[in-house]
Formats: sequence, structure tokens, C-alpha cells
Amino acid sequence: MQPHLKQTYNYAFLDEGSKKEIRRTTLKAVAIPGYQVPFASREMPIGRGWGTGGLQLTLSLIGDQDCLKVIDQGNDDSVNAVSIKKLVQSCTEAEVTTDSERATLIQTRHRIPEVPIRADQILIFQVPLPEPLRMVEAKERKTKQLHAEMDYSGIWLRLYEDIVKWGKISIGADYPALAHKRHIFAPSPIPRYDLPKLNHADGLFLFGAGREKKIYAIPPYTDIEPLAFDDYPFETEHFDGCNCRLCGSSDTFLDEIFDEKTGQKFYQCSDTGNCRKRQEKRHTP
Amino acid sequence: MTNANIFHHVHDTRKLYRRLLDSMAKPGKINTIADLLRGVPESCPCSSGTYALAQTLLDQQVSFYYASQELNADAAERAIEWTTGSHHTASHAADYLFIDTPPEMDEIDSIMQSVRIGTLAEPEKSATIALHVRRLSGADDLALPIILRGPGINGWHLLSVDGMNMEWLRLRSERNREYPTGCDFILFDDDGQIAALPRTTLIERRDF
Repeated sequence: MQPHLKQTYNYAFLDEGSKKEIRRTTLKAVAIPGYQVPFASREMPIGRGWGTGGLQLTLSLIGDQDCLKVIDQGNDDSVNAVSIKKLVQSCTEAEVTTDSERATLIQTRHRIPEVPIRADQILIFQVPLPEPLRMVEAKERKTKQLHAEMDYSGIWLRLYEDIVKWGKISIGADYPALAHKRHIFAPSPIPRYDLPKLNHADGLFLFGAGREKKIYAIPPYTDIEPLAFDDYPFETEHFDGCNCRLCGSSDTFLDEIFDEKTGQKFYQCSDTGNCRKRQEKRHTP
Repeated sequence: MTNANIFHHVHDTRKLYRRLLDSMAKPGKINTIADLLRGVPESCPCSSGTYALAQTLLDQQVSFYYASQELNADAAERAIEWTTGSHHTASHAADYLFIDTPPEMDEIDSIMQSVRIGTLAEPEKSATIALHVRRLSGADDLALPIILRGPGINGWHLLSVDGMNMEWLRLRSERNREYPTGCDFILFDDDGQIAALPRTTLIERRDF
């Protein structure tokens, strides 16, 4: 019988050299809002495209005093969010929570919590496709040059063609925006509803794309303008006349749930942590 | 467990990084790292601020430049090289510049004229300058009060610096003229306080 191999990892999984490189990259990213800084994305124990960029940022930041919340499409209990939390807990002493107001670090996939991020909190996005110009230019070398020259005519034309064809801009999630009047960036596939939350926020937003090996950031109080035309202004999703079936809220981002058997449609808060808190508040007189 | 007398390369560098990140995200915000500097060995030939920042930022992948008027500047260079694995290089090639004592006017000029600012396509290939100053304050009570504006700042922010030559800021605005190219500054003082001036920050001299 092979003796059982006991393997111990460094604190917060990554070795110190990797952390240093991620930290140096993050500091540069904060100094150039919206610009994608390349980094040497490490192999992680989860597959690339499953949140490795966000996870590497989280691990480069986290310490024992931190309280971590991980959400996947607003949900604290999805498999991916739970696995990431377990991994972080197995290599640090950090606490985990579902309450966005208690958390110091929040790693998220595709949503920003309903309660605004405070100055002492950091929101970490998992980014699948960091390049907003990829839909108009396939080559990385060329998109880099387009950013350098601030030549954004391609993406503007794409929006214009949308209006000609569909009468409105058809991009739903991952709506491109301009950071600090200079770089167009992809806010990761958050709904348009969440995009204005990045503009002049109190907290810091970090974006990690593990597969594409890019880190970028939006510091607090930074101008974030969604791309739009004067006569076709930027619009967010709205849920007129819909309420969450669990907490009754009408002012949050709602998911539509469809019952196959009865054909009925339900609406339910996407941010489960916030929804649970509202339900508790409703039940306590 | 963290030994109180040792600068811990896992936990203390992480703590320092978090405060530095906070200062970088909120330009001009003063954070203290005095508690971490107590772990810096007394035999260290450079300032404890330089030592701690070097341990946090440097490794074999990046290069640094160290400037000091002290006699033991060479020993400090070697100490940083040995403890971090990074290598010392000229100021125009370095990724990180540590300016430990106030240099002469012409030295400031030569550093700032040649410091790396990246290119429009790769603005991250720029240098970061860690500048040792006498004191930092958030009030209007030191020799050089400056008003900061830009990303990370809600309206404006006041930062006062003692022991920093005005020439740094004049040449900084000259080199940082074409955003996104430019260099970023980290300021640290004798009391273990840090603040940062990323390239996006617009600085006005407060004259009264």
C-alpha cells in the first residue's frame, strides 16, 4: 500500500511569488481604470472559465481578518460559489458569510449585490471575456492597438447597426462602458441594471479573467459611462408590476422562473442574501 | 504564528499590500503601516519603509533602483537583492524606484526625465516610484499642501507633505501628460504612514 501522501499548501493556496505578481498587476490596474493589465494566470484547482481570475484576486487579498461572500448570479448557494468558499476556507482562517454588509471581500459572478458596496469593501468579479472589442475584432494584437489609439469606431458602428436592424441596442449583459473617459471596458456579464452601480461608487471593483489572463479595476469615484447615443440613451432592465414571490420586493433585480407543469411564471430576487434578509425583516414584527 | 519581531513574508506583506491598495484606490488617503514596520530587522541598511515595500512588491521578475545619500547605499542595494531576489538596475530601466533620502535637484531631474512611463499600447510597463518623505498629513499643516482630484477621489482631497521637493510634482505632471502613460508614486514617511499618487491624480499646489 502506498503511504497516504499528506500535502500542505501555502497560506491562501497560491505561492508568494504568484501573489506578488497578482498584487503588482492589481496596483497597476487601479492606476489605469478600465485598462486590461496582462498577468500570468496560474493553474487553479478549478477549471479555467470557472472563476479562476476572481479566485486568484481573492486569494491574493484575503487574510484571517477577512469575511468572504461568494455569489454566482446573485446566488450564495450555487455549486460554484460553495466550492470556491470551501477552497478558500481550507487554506485560510477567513470567515464566510452570505450577508453582503458583513463581508469585507465579495467575489461575484455576473451580479453586483443590491446593497451598495462600502468604501471598506472590495468587489471581485469573475470575468469570462475581458475584451469589449472582441465582438468587432478577433485579434488580440489589433484590439490592443485599438485601445492604444482610442479607436473605438468599430464598437460604435456595431451599436449603430443594432439600432438600424432592431431599433435598439441588443446587448443585454456585459454592456460596454467607458472608464475615466479613456478605456472602453467589459463590466463582465452583469445585467445593465447593475452597470450604473460602478459609476462613482464608494468601493473598489477588481476584475479577474483567469482564462484570458487579464486583471483590470474600477477605483471608487470614477466616471463610468455606458456607451449610448443622444437619441438612443442607455436603458436598464425594469420589472414594472412584478414582485419577488419570497420577500415581496419590487425594487430589486428579479429572475423569471417558469413552472413547466402549470406554465406559470414567478419572479424571485436574484440576490438571495439580500432577499433572505428582507424576508426575515418582514416576518419579525 | 507571526513573530512580533520578524517581518512576516506571508502575512505582513499581505497586510501592507491591502493598505497600499487602499491608498492607491483612494489617492492621497493616508494609511499607517507602523505596526508592520516594527518587524523590520534593525540591522537593515535602508529605511524600514523601503524594506517593507520591497519585500511586498519585489521578486526575481522585476528590477529596482535604489537611491540614497547615505554611505551604506550599496549595502542597502545588496540587502534588497538578497532578500527579494530582485536585481538592481539603472533608474531608466527599473520597474520600482526607491528614493530613500531627498536627492539633489539635478538627480531628481535625471530620474524623472528617464523614468519609464510605458507606451500607449502597454501603459503598465511603467515604473512606480516609492518616495521617502519626512511626514504626511491629511490636514493643512505641512510645508507642501496639495489638492488632489481624479478617480478614487470624491471631489477633492487635501494631502500635506513635508520633505518632498516640488520638482517631483512638476516633472510628474510633465511626464504624465499623455494618459494612460505615466508613472505612479507611493509616498511613505518616518512615522510609517503611506499614501499614493497614481498617474490619474491631478495635483494642484495649494497656495494661500
